Amino acid sequence: MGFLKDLKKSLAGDPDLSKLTPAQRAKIEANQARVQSALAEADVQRSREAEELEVFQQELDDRRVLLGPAGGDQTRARVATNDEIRESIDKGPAHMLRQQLSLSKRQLGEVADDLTRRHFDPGVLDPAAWQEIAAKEHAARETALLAYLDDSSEGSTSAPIRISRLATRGATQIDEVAAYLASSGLAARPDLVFGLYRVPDRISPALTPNSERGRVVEWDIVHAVVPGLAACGLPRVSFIDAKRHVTRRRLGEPEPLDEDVAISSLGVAGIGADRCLGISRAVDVRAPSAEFSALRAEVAGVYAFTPGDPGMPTPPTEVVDVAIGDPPGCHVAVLNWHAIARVVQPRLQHPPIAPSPFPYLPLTPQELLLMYVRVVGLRAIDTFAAAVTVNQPTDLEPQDFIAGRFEIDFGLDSPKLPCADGKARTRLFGATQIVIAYRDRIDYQAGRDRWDRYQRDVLQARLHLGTGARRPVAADTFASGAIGTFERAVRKVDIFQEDRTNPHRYCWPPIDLR
Amino acid sequence: MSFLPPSVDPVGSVTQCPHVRRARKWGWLIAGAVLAIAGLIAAVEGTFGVFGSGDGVGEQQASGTIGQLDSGAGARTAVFSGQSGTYTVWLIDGTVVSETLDQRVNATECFIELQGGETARIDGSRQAISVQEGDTATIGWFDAPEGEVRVSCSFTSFGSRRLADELRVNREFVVTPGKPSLEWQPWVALFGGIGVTIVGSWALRRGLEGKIITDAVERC
Repeated sequence: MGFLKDLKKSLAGDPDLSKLTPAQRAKIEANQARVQSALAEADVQRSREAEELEVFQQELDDRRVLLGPAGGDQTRARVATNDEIRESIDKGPAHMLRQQLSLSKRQLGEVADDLTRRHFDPGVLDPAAWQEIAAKEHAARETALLAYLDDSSEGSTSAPIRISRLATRGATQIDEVAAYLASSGLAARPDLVFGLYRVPDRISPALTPNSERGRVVEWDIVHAVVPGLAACGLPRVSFIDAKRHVTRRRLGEPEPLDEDVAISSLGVAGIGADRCLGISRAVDVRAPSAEFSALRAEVAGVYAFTPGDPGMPTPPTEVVDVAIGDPPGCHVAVLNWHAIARVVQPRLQHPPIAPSPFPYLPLTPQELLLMYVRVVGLRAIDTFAAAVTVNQPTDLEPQDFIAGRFEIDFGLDSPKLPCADGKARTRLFGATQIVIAYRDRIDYQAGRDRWDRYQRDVLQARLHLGTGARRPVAADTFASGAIGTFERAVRKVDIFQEDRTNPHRYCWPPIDLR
Repeated sequence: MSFLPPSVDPVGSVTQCPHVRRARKWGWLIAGAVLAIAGLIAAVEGTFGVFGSGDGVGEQQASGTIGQLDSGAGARTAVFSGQSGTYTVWLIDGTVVSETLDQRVNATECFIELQGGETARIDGSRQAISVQEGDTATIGWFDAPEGEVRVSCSFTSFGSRRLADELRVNREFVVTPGKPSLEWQPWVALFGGIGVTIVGSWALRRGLEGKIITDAVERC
C-alpha cells in the first residue's frame, strides 16, 4: 500500500524526495531538468509558429477584398500560449476531450449548414417585388455616392450615362454591334461612347453547349445619352487573337492585359482614346470540347472598335510592342467583381438576391462600372475601355452543385430571365471583373483618390485586389526539359489544339522558352 | 422588364433598328435544304436496305430438301441443267434467330454431281462468310460445267448437342446462279445519307444566320 501511495504522490507532481536514495534523487532531478529544457524549447518553437501565423494572417488580411460585414468572419487564428496549454493539461484529459468535441461539433454544424444551405435566403422571387426592392436599394447607394462625385469636373458630364444592351446572335455578333453603332449614330461619336463589351453571361446554357453561334449573345454599349443623333457609317473593327505571340515577355515579367495590347496596337496606328469607340475582350462562353459539357468563359482575343472614317489607319494585329504595366499615358483599372458577386449573387443561375444581404454593395457589375466612371469623373473621349468581363478561364457551374447538394437545379428551378430582346431565357452570370482603361489626366488622379475613399468608406472593399491582372509570366507544368519539348511537340499536332488555351495571352511562349 | 440591372436599357435586336436588316443567304439555304432532303431520303433508303427483309436470293435454278441429322430422312435432291458457271446453295430456314440459323448453316453439307461424272462438296462451316438475307443464308458455292447438276444436302453433327434437335427437321434449300454478293450499297446510302444530312443542316444554319446588312447611309 505504501508503494501505491508514493506512486500516487509522484504522479500528482508532489514527490517526497527526502525518502529517496541520492542516486534516485539525482535521476529524478536530471529528468526534471530535461523536462524544463524541453518546455523551454517548446516555448521557442511556439513563439516561432506564432510569428509565422501572424505573418500568414497578415498576408491573408492584405489580400482580403471585402472588409466590413461582407468580409465574413474576421476572427484570427492564433497559437495557444503556454499558460493556456498548461491550464488545459491541469484540467485533465476530460476537459481537453470536451473542448475537442465542442470544436468538432461546431465544424460539423458548419459543414451541415453548407450542405443543406439552411442559412441560404434566396430573397424575393417575384420579378416586380425584386425590381422594387432593387430600385430602392439602388437609390440609397446613389445617395451615398453623391458625396464622392466631383460636380465641378468636366467629367461629370451633364448627359446621363446609360448602358444600351443589344441582343445579338453569336455567329453575327460583331456585325450586329457594328450595325447598331452605325444605326444609332454612336459609331461617329467616340466622345460619347465610354466603351462596349460582350456581356459575359451564357444565355440558354443547355442548348448547344459547344457553340454560341446560334445563341443569343448580349452586348452592352456604355455611352452618354444625347438625343437626335443621325445614323452614320459602320465602325471599323480590328481583332487580335489571344493565341498569337503578339508581344515579347520573359518569365517573371507581368503578362499584358488585353486592353494593353489593343491600346498599344491602336497607338502604333496613331489612334488615341479620342478616336476609339471601345476595346472589348472577345469572350466565348461554351464547353471547350465535345467531350465535356461544362461551360467555360474565356477570352479568345480582343476587339477594337474605331469610327469608320475613310482615312482611319489600320492598327497592326500581328506584332505589337506592349510596354510593361499601364500603356504610356494611360491608366487601366481592374476591379474585382467576383468577390462582390459571391456575396450578393451566390448562385450563377439566379439574379442577385433582393433584399441584398449587403445593400451597401452594388447589385450588378454594371452598377459598379458606372460607379467608377462617375466617381473618377471620366470623359468618354478619354476612355478606351469600360467593360464588365472575365480574365482567366472560368468554369460556369450552377452553384448549388458546387455547394454539395448533389443536384443540378439548372433547368428545373433556374428562372428564365429577360434578355435584351424581351424574351425570357435561362442564364448563367459569368462576370468576374471590371476593366476601365483611359488616357490619364491630372484631374483623374483626384478622381481616383475619391474612388479610394469611396471604396474604403462606403463599399468597405479593396476591389483592386485578387483580380489576377498582369500575373507574372510563368512556365506551365511541362514547359522545361525533355518533357517540355515533348509537350510542345504534342501541342503542335494535337487535334484539339483549337480548344487549348495558352497559359498567358498574346505573349506565349515567353522568349526564354522559345 | 424585370431582373435587369438599373441603368441598363434593353434595345432589342439590331434588326429592329432603322437601316439594318438581316439578309438570309439564299444560296446556302437552298443548297442546305436540297442536301438535307437528299441525305434524309438516302439514309431512309439505306436503313431499309440494311435492316429490311431483303428481296430474297433472286432467280432460283432449282430447290431441294435437306436431309435430317443422322437419318437423312426427307432429303430431296435438286436437279437442274444450266450453263457453265458458279452456283450458290442457299438454306431457307424460316427463322431469323441468329444462333439457330448459324447452327443449321454450319451443319449443312452438300454433295454435288456434275456433268461428266465430276463431283464437288460444299460445307456450310467452311465458307469464309455466310451471306444472310432475312431467313436465307448461303451454304457455299461451286463451279459447274454446262449440263445437268444434282445437289443433295443433309444436316451433319455440328456444334452443341443441345442444338442437335434443331437439325432433326427438314429445311428447303435452293440453288441460284452466280456468287452471293455483299450488299454494300445500303450501307453507303445510310452513312452517306447521314453525312449529307449533316452537311445540309450546317448549310441551312449558315443560310438562316444570314448576314447583317446596313443600308447605305451618309458616311461619317
